[in-house]
Amino acid sequence: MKLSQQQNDMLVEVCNIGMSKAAKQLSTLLTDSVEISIPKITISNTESASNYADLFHENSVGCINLSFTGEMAGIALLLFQQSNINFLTQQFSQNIAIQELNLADNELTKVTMEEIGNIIMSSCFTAFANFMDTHIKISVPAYMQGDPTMIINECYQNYTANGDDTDVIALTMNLKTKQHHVSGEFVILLTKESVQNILSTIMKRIQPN
Amino acid sequence: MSTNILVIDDNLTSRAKLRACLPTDMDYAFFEADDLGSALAVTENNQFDICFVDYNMPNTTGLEIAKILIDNGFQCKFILMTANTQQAVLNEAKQLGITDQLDKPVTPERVIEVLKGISK
Repeated sequence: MKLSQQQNDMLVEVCNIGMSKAAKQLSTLLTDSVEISIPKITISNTESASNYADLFHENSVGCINLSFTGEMAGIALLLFQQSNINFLTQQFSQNIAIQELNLADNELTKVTMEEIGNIIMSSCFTAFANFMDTHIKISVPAYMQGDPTMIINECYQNYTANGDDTDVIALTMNLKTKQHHVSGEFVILLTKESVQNILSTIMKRIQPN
Repeated sequence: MSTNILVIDDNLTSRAKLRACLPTDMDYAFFEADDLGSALAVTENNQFDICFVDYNMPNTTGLEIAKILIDNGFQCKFILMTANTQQAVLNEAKQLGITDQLDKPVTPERVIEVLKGISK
């Protein structure tokens, strides 16, 4: 699949709508301003998926991932530097009586990061769904941590395992907080069919008849 | 008089977060369910005034659980508590008569606002 410059620009605009909501939620969670990069649109396959790992300065990351289906289908990954994970967990759970939860530290991190991912990514997909006037079914998020290349490859391969076509469109954006220097990468891997649906929605709005 | 509150949400920290955001001067009993089975069990022998229900849950969505409870004759004021506020989700809630909404992330200010709204 090849995107024209116009199609690329359209996807960037749609991506901005969803990712801005994601940034707003991160900002609310951390009571901090969040800067977002211009979304990057790339055609991705199994070999190139691991290139995303280059976005990270550390060799360990925390990743919340979920899948989504409907007119827009694919997987979404929200990755944070490992050094940010403790801060995110503490911020979210600061008024919670943690000792009453009776969880080991790693379990607390897992459930908290899953909820943080749920809040950030659900808001993003709500914006996408309302823009496209459709319903996007979102799975429950899962959290994993480790080497970014391994994590991204695993998510990617799980996603493409049942499909004939391993080429997907990747939307990538960086979220960075101003005060606390939390940095995350939000990666959405879309099927080609989803991209066609998004572009067709936009075209209908530009040229209604 | 004490208010019986039920939260149906698969995520433990999300349930704890809601509890932490409830007004400190409120007299309440707090119950939790993390799936359909535990929701059915806790509503079998207890009456509730308010039920906060999440949407994105494994196997059965929060609104599907709410529908099953309502069909079973369970009565209380439901509040949809989610960040997934897609129009289709809100329409589904409306069909069940659920019009109150608490957007995640939950804050004490927003919880108070929602509770004031339903007590009117």
